[in-house]
Amino acid sequence: MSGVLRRLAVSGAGILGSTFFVFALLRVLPGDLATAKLGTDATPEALQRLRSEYGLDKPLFTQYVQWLGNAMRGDFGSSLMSGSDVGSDIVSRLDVTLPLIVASSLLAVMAALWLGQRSALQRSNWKSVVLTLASQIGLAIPIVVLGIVAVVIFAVWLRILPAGGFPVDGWRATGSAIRSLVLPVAVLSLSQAAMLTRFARSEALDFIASDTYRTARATGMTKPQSISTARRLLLVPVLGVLALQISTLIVGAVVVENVFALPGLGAMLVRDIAARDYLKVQGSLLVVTTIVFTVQFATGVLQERLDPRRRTT
Amino acid sequence: MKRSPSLVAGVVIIGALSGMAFLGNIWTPYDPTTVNSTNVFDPFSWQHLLGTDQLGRDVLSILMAGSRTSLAAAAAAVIIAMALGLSVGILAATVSRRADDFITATLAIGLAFPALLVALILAATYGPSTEIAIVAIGLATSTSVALVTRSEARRILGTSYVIAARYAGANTTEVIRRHVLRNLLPSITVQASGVASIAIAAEATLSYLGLGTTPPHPSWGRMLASTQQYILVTPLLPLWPALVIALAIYGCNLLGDGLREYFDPTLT
Repeated sequence: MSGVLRRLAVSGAGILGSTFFVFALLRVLPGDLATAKLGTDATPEALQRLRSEYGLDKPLFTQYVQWLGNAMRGDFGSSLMSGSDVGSDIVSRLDVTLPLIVASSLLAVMAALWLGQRSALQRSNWKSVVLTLASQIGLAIPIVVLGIVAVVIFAVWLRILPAGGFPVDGWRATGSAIRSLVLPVAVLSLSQAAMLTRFARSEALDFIASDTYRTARATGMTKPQSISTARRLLLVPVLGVLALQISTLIVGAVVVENVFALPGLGAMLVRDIAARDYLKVQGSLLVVTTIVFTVQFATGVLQERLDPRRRTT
Repeated sequence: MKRSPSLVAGVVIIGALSGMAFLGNIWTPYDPTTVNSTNVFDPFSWQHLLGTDQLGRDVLSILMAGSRTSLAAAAAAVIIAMALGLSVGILAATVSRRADDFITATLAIGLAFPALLVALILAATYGPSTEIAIVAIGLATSTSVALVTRSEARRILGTSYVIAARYAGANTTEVIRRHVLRNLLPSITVQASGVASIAIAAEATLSYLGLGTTPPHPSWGRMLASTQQYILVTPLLPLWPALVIALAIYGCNLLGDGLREYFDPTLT
């Protein structure tokens, strides 16, 4: 149990450290929030009023603690540009981003396990050539290129999936919501699966060389049956890599949401960065870091549950 | 020594693209920024080999002009990453165990920040520009360069010829210059091509998102973004920059694989 507590402490410290870093970075700018909102020709009095309204005249650390305390209670402040509530903006955007990330990771892990086992068993036929080529493509080609090529093939030439967008009714229009997420999830999971498959394959190759595999074969199991006894053994390192890659996955989601015009957190983040809406950027990045550390915490705990050998360390 | 096919293919692809960038710097078939509303979305023709875009600009000319931005940005990012990574890596290899542990731990944290994330944060702070993108990509990729360099340099410092040189009276600077740097060369070239492939992808993605190269400068990523809205009219238009970006990255990867085989023939 103390292991879980220690992990929790590490994740908490990670969230605090990285959000403070982003907070400080956004504050040490030459032009501060007040000038960003009012413009450079604002009167000094107006700037001063806005600064004290947002608490910008207080020391940096006090500002951070105040902001974080409010954020914990769900108050992320309001947008500098539109005046809308940042917290509810983020929550409404997560409706798209969370399903996108969760579905892509699940698909990527399942594909990696299956393909890793498969390609470890068949090392020298055309299937393995196709698999290696596919993983090379997934590793080499950036998501934005992959996404646009996918749009051209599936939305323009074959006309079987939408080129982008999300139904205005959101998840109430379940069918079209799912349809509009098919290509984004496929693109995002392909780029992840390419990485994960390599690890799954090398773990599977190790397993094939082990006594356990030989014993399983000796009891009369077929090759695929024997290798499937190692499913847990393969899942643990793949989850570890996924946890390490989670920030890459989220950046990938940012790109995918922009390519497919999905109203998600990543698309909003890019727009806010371009518009220099600092409070919203801060809020979004807090949520993103929390997701990253939560996933790493959860995979750590899951790995310990799946593999008893990890519990003592 | 037999040259590996990856090396040849990589050199040919990267050479051709760099040639295109150099040529695009001094000559393009048409001015890449000239708008011509009478012939928008022209298909292939002898006048416009790859057709024209939504503003009637010659696609081949924009691609050529864009290759300069994209490749120069990648090259600059590689230089930053290698300079920073090499100095930190060699430093970590030569200082005391405790200082080394500290540097390594710090670098390991840095690994958790992918190039695009660093670039997003820096773009949020300083506003979008090619320079910020270059710095961000260089910074983010330098951590892995430093870690690899550190372990390589430690290995070299432990070899018998370095110990012999030390007994012969060579000081640390001399050892680093004459032995460590020279023996790091294979690892340096392989890593530089890896960084280049990451940098090309990151620059294209950032410019696509509007957080890298800003208008009116042509770049492959911006071409992708500006042609995507016409994807239903002319699906070929965004495919050109997509193809060139993929080709450049694949070329860098081939180059890296080829160099690895060239320096370490036991791999083949």
